[in-house]
Amino acid sequence: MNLESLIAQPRADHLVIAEYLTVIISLIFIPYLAIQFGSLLYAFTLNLRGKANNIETDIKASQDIVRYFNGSWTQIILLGVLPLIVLTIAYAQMLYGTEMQVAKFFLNTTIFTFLGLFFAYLSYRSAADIEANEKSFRIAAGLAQTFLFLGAWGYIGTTSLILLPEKWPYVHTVIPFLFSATVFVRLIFFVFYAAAITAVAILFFNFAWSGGREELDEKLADFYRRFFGGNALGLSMALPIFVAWDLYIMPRIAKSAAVFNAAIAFILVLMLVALLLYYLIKNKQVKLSASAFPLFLVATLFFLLSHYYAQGTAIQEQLQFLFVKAQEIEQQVQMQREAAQGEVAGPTLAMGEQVYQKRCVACHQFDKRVVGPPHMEILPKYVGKQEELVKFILNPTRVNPDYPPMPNLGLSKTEAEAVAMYLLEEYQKRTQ
Amino acid sequence: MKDKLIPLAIIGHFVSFVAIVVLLAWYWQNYLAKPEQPIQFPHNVHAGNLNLDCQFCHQYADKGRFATVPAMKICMDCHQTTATDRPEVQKLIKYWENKEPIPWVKVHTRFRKNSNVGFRHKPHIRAGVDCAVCHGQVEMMTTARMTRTMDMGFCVQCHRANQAPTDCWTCHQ
Repeated sequence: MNLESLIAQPRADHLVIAEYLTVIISLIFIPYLAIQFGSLLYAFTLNLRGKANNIETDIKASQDIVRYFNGSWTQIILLGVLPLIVLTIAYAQMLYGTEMQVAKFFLNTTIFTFLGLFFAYLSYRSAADIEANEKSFRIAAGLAQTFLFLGAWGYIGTTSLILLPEKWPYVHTVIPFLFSATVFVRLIFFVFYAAAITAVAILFFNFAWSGGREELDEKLADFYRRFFGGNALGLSMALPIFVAWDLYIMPRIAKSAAVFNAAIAFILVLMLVALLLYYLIKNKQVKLSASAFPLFLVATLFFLLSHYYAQGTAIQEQLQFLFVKAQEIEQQVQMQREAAQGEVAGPTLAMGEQVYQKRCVACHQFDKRVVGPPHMEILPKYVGKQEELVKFILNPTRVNPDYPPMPNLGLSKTEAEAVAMYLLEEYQKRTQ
Repeated sequence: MKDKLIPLAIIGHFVSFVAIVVLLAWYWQNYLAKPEQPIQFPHNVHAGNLNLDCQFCHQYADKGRFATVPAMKICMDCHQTTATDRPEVQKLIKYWENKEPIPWVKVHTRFRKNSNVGFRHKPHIRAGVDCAVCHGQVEMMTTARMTRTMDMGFCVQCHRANQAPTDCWTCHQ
């Protein structure tokens, strides 16, 4: 089944909405996916470490993290699955008519992401009694991480392929492209980003959200501050490496000043986050996480804007083409509506004059040479032969070597008939 | 001292990456970005609205190695009288009156000097390859920009897909 055939030709206003949606929805989806992946990554590794070294805090932390971040079906649907479906439709609209099978590629991503979130929920259920359900917790968490990783990989692969229109006719499956340098760099960035934002989120939701969690015991709170504060700081400092690397290998077709400016803004905001985290660790000022997490989301916004500008630059001609096409279709629909209502039946003098003023006056006038010959010289041979004039307008040929060749203006038959009607009517008026 | 050193080190770390990004931006701006042309020729008006064929202006694409930019006479055929109030058309007219060639800046500059790649437009046009395959949707552009990487992989993937020769001598002399 060709999923692309389910996507309708976008209207001009739909295209504008689709462009904005890709940023706004990504701002919801990417942090959520990252936190889901990051929380399971931390929970899984802390559980393993805690069991191996008999560290109770680690095991408690792993249970606490999974129980706090992974238990809501509402979140799974509203922040995970639904945004991905909306993004699929938005991208499919923006890439309508191209060879890029974006709906098919995003469907695979949606399936993997949903499976990942499903297993994340199962790990949440197992974590209720993590000691008794240790094996099922590890299996569920492991599978969740795997599927979320594959989902993220597919998402990154598909959005990165958008930057290379030259590959679209040849890519029937996104799998080979998943092993390209661009996707590789972005995937590592995602893993580091997921771990970083999860660490900051853990600090925020434990120490700042609604005044902090009162049920958190002191030992666990101290562990969170040191472990996740340190992780968040270290990982935040690593992120600019991948941003710079990604900019270096990004196709030139996608680059613009806006891409670089947004990347610089991302790095600068991340610097503020890193400084807050440093003072959070050093001075035990856990309430600084109240600023660190929102700032991290602001940094995420700049990072997404950088990618949005890159995509917009890469496909700017495609978007422009769709805008023009949408306007043409709207005009045709309007004409059909008028025809159906009996206001206009086929070509009319009014339409002919409108088309003439828009398309012909640049090169023609009735009584003097502009680019083409004056109409008064040419039209006598078409009097009583409107069909021949229509034929010429639709398929012009060079008749007189003293004039440059007339280009084919791409008029529809109705437009050509209307213009011919108008020209002959005007000629009649002027010769009476 | 240590209290100030670590925050400074953090700031220094991020600022150094800002500097790297600025350097990348500078390089892109000067060597890779769409070049500034002496006249802001709108392809979207000519190839788009007016539906002029590419070879209406780039007349030698099917006749030789280079597609070429049009002789000024082709522009002046229309613009002697058309749109003469527009600033960019006035620039064109000034070049024409001064008998001075327009210093167009080459857009498609991908092939490296030492790669010995001898690309010819003629066999591609005659094989029916649409201009948009390599040059993108020019009818939507103002001044032209590169929309393909034009690296070896880009050429080879199309040659393979269309059963065109892929031996080295086809492109490298």
